[in-house]
Amino acid sequence: MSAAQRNRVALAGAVLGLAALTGFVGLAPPASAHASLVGTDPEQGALLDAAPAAVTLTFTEPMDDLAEVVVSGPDGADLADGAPVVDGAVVRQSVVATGAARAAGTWSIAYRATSADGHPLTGQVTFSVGAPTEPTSETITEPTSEPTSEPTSEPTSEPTTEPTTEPTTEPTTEPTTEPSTEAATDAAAPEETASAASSSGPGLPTRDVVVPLALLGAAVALWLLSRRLPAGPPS
Amino acid sequence: MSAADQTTGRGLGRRRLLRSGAVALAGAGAGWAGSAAARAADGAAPPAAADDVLTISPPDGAETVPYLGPHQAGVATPPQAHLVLLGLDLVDGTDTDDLRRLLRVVGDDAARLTQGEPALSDTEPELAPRPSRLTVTIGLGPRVVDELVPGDLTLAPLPSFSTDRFEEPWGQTDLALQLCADDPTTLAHARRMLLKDTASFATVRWVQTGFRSARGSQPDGTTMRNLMGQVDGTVNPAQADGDFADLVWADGPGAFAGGTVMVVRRIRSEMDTWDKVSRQGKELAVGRRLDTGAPLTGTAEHDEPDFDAVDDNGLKVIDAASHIARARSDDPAERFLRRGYNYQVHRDDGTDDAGLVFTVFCADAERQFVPVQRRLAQQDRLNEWITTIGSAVYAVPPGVASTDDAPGLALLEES
Repeated sequence: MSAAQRNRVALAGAVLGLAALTGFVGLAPPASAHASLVGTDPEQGALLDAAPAAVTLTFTEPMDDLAEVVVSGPDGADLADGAPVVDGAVVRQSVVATGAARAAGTWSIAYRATSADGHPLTGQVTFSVGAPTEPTSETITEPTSEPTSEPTSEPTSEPTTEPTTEPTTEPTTEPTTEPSTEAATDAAAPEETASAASSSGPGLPTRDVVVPLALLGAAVALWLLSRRLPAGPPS
Repeated sequence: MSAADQTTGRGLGRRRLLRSGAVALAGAGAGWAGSAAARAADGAAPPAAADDVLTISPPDGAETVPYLGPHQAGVATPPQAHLVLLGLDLVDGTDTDDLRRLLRVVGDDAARLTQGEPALSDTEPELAPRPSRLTVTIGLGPRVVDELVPGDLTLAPLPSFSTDRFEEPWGQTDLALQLCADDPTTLAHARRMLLKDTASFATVRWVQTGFRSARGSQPDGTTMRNLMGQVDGTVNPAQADGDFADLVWADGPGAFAGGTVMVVRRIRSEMDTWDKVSRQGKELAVGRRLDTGAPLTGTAEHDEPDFDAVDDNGLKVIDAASHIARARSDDPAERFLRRGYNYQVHRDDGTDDAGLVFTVFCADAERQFVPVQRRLAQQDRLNEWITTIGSAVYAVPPGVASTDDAPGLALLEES
């Protein structure tokens, strides 16, 4: 291998290493501070005495006017009254004021809101009206049976007791274990965590390949350059 | 599989045979098979005989779109790859006779150039023989219709919409000349000839150039992609549709029967902010997947969107404020033919301005286009990233049956 050839190879190696390194930098997901959910009213897992007149969702930054909020009562009916009103970082959704669907039991708020830069946040929050139906501890079990059985003893006895004991246990256990951990731990929107995970996912294998490649390229370049130096002046 | 089967199997056969005429038929056996094979190779080495074969079969540049017919070409014509849209203003004091002369000049140039012949006194006749499906379509602006066209034809300017952010010079002009071809060189020549020949009648206010994917880069009929990456134009009415003619061609008044109305909106894409949106946010804004163009409730581009579908949380899969949800009308009359082109130009401030020369053809803009645009202006997630910077509307006269006539002349004979 002549000096000129080695020179060329070294240069190619250096370029390759550099390209791989910059490529790696270029591939890194852009640092972004997307909006996230900071709180809701009612809060995740809250226990209310009566059905709310409205629910609100508060985000870290002003949100786009176009939001969708679905408020579901224990029987699954959508209790949202009209379109949500977005006021800066707060999204407020009125709840229908009357109707049998405003029943005791577990409710859920599903939302989709977009930040001003168009990033959508979706998630779900659950809370209970009247009493939590989950018979997990004595203290909660006592009041649960009381308030639910009292209003239900009259005309609504059948529809309310059934849904509160049966379907509510299911929705409550699931949402409280899943979304509640997210909402409770850092109050971040589930969407945010999900998208962050998915964006870093495909980046990982690339990084695994690119970094060693870059290092290898740089090493080859250095080796060839170091060999070239004592080889005397170029002809 | 025989050679002929191969050709038609690729979907190239019939149209190419039709347009190639006697030359191709003469060399049919070997010619078509070779041509198809060369095209089908997709990067593989072409057969040895390909060079001979390609000289026999006419290339795309030889293809012409008929100039004569009940409608002007360039409307129902499958969109060519390139657009030059000229916005012209008549010189002060233009009367009906002057307009008549201008229409004759444009018609004569169109009749020749679109058929691959040099224009009269063509200074570069060598640029004429590859028309590459060139079409020339002339439209008359509201002022011309109002002041110079007798008869009952009326053309109202478009109303203003809350999302309008007009910039000079992209406004209404007296005339529009829409030139389309698959070859930009052909287009440059046609543009020069038409501007030279109309220079004594009219001045140029603006030139809007546009492009789609190159001819042959994807199967003919593929829905275009705009520069935001979206499949754009999936629900366009097709000529095969029963109501295409009703949607596109006016049935009058008088000599305007067979004409159409052209709406031109220059819509900038705010690429810098769009680029920051997650894929999820982009798809939510449009209501379609970016990769296939399928509605978010479907799997293929032409699947019918299900605007009522909800996800596990009870939220709409296709957001009610998404572009496709807002653009959709229950009224089948609120549809129109879109024939837009991408544009990308460099600005003095060192940045690019990119977007769509959004061109619509319909029988009645007020009835068909305005209600849809009004709904989109009121609410459309996409509005965050698109800005309408120009707007104009033109009456496009019907076609002509003879080169002795020219589009628009008949309108001037009415009283």
